[in-house]
Amino acid sequence: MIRLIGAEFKKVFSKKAIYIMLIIALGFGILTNLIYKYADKLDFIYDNRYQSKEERDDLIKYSKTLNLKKPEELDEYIYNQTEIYFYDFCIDNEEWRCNILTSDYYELVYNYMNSLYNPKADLNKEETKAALDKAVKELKENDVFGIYKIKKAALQKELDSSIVTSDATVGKKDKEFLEARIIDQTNEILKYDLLLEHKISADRKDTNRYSQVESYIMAKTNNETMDLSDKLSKEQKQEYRNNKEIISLNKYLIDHDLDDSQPTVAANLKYFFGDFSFFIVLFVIIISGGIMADEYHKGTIKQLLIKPYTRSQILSSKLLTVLLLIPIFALMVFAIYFILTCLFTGFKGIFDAIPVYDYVKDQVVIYNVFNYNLMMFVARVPYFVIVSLISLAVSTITGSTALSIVMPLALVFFSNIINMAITNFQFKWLRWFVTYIWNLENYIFVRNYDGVLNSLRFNIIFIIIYILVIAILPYIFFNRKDIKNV
Amino acid sequence: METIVKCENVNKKIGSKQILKDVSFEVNSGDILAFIGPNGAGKTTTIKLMLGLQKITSGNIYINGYDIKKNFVKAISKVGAIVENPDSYMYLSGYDNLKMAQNLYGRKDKAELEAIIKKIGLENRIHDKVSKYSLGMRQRLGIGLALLNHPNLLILDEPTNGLDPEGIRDLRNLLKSLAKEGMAIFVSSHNLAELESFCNKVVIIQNGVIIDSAKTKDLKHDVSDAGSIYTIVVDSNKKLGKKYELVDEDKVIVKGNKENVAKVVSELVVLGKKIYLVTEQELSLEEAFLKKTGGNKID
Repeated sequence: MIRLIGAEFKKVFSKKAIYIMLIIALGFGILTNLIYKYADKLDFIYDNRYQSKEERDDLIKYSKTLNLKKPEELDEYIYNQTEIYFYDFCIDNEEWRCNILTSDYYELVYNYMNSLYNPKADLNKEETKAALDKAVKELKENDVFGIYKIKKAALQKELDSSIVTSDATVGKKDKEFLEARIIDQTNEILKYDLLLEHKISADRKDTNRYSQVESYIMAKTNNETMDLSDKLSKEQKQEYRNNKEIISLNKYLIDHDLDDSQPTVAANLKYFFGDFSFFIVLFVIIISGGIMADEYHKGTIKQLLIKPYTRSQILSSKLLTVLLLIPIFALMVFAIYFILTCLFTGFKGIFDAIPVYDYVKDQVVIYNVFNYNLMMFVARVPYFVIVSLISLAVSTITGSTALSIVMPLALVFFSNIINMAITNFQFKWLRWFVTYIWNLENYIFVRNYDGVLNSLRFNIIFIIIYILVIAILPYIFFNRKDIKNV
Repeated sequence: METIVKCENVNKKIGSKQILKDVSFEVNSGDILAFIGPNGAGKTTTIKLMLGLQKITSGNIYINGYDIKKNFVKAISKVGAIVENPDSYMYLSGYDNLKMAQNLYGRKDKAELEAIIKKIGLENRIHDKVSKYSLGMRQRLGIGLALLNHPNLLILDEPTNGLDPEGIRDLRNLLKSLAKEGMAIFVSSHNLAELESFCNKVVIIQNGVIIDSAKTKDLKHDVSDAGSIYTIVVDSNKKLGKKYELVDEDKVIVKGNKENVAKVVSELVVLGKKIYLVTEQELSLEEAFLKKTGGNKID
């Protein structure tokens, strides 16, 4: 058997296909690394708003054409005036000041413009202007951390007021409303505490870390608000679960000052199986499909069958070759991508932590790039094995390379749609279907899952059944097959 | 003399069609057996059944005493073969093909491999990819692959395909020497003129049925209607009279046996003719085959 497997390996590695696939992997790896490396520059194109004088002038020109007597055009005019105010401010001020104005002070600017141009608005022009001027003055006179302290102080006042009001409120609905507001204000204050503690500015360089804080606060606020409810809908429960992951992961990243948007070895390689899984499965299908069908087509199967080995031994050697090639090829592609990523990132962050949230333990579990990808591979082993066995079985039974590639590929392509249908239409009787059970990622990482999750034991039993049935079929056909004329 | 192959009442049916019917023959050590028949007679099917490439419907095939159905590995272990085409892996070199096959037999002797390469005459091209070989070179490689395991049975399906006259001569000499060493050789071919020069036995198959099985010499004598044909070369100066006709001005053709020839020679001497040469012409294998099968042409 060892000799047979040796001969199969010799044949596979003498063909051009494997080297072409590796070169494509290399090209794909270079492209992926380039995208990760220059992603922030791509963001720049889309986020660089309010910097163009030409855009501002166009907006001014267009606004002059609007008829303020028509309500919808009046709304548009007010919106445009808000935008023009932002342009005027942002063109002359630093980016972080622009970011704070356009996000945190949007309402102040809009209210002012509304009071100016909308005679029906219940707003006092002087008051709105005074509020806006005060905010802009604070913005111009303080650094970002000073602004955080000012906002925090303002929020603290609002919170104190809300607490007093809540204590005095009797009605259940009003009380709940106030409690929700208190939660919101408390967490907003926490947001500024975190920004100050970890020295996170509103500049481009801190965009990702700022987002971590915002995501954390938003998810925390949502969950604490939902905790006030007696009963949650199915969608709310799912959202609650999702938020727990967001809270834990972002808290970890914030506490450890980790900017996971920066291209490091760990950050890039976290997505290795997300980016390359299809590529690996494609290779597996091509090799499995050709390993038997090619021998039929070229007639070399006759030479193999007149050697002193039984047909079962010959088929087993091909099956074992295919199974062994799965981890070998995955490792080869991983090595190529790892080396490329190290070169592109300057070997930065090889041993950085990859945090993953464990829903059962309700905590963040830390991996490194190697054990994380090993777990991802192990989770996908049933998927790779089943797909390769299907390809080998079709190749052996039909002798058609085309069918042996197309059939498993079709299953791979449509697996997401099939799984969504099983979940969304609640086809519980289809929860044993092969595409539903072949990826164990949700169990290995104890991830949240949108649909119904089978038990791990159930999945493993069906994986074994599938493997046995798909593996046995080619033996039955191959042992009976008459070798026809080539 | 040892029986290497024994086919007993072998039948092959595909669907309702009877491909082979009660095929029986034996191949002994030292035999070079020609397995001949018209197109579609069942030659390749018989070979495939012998090699386990197709299933036997009924009957038995024994190779070296082992039943091909019940003990395939032992039966096939001393067999080398080329079936239909000299199949080898085109993307590997000739050397790699031979080495890989040698490994599969559990042999690793490099000297043995070199000897085979020399025997098939591919020393200069053995490291080239098979995709660059001509048909003749691939045929030689196929023979080399068949000889790797020092078989005592060699089954060759159209082995002279693509070989030039020198290659055919080399193959003929090789097969003769292998047969002398005791190898049983089973050859299926349409090139009867070539087969004739080295086969000692013939089995003729037609429409899936064995119609004759004999030594080559005996087959030719069997089908000859009135013995051999003799050519007597005489001087051309004098005429013969009405009894005998001269062919090509100096030949007299006689059909019959040796006694008839002796009588004719005496009469010619009496007529004053000088006798320069008397030769016997045998029926060719092709002629014998055509008489047996009733065909106008082969292939």
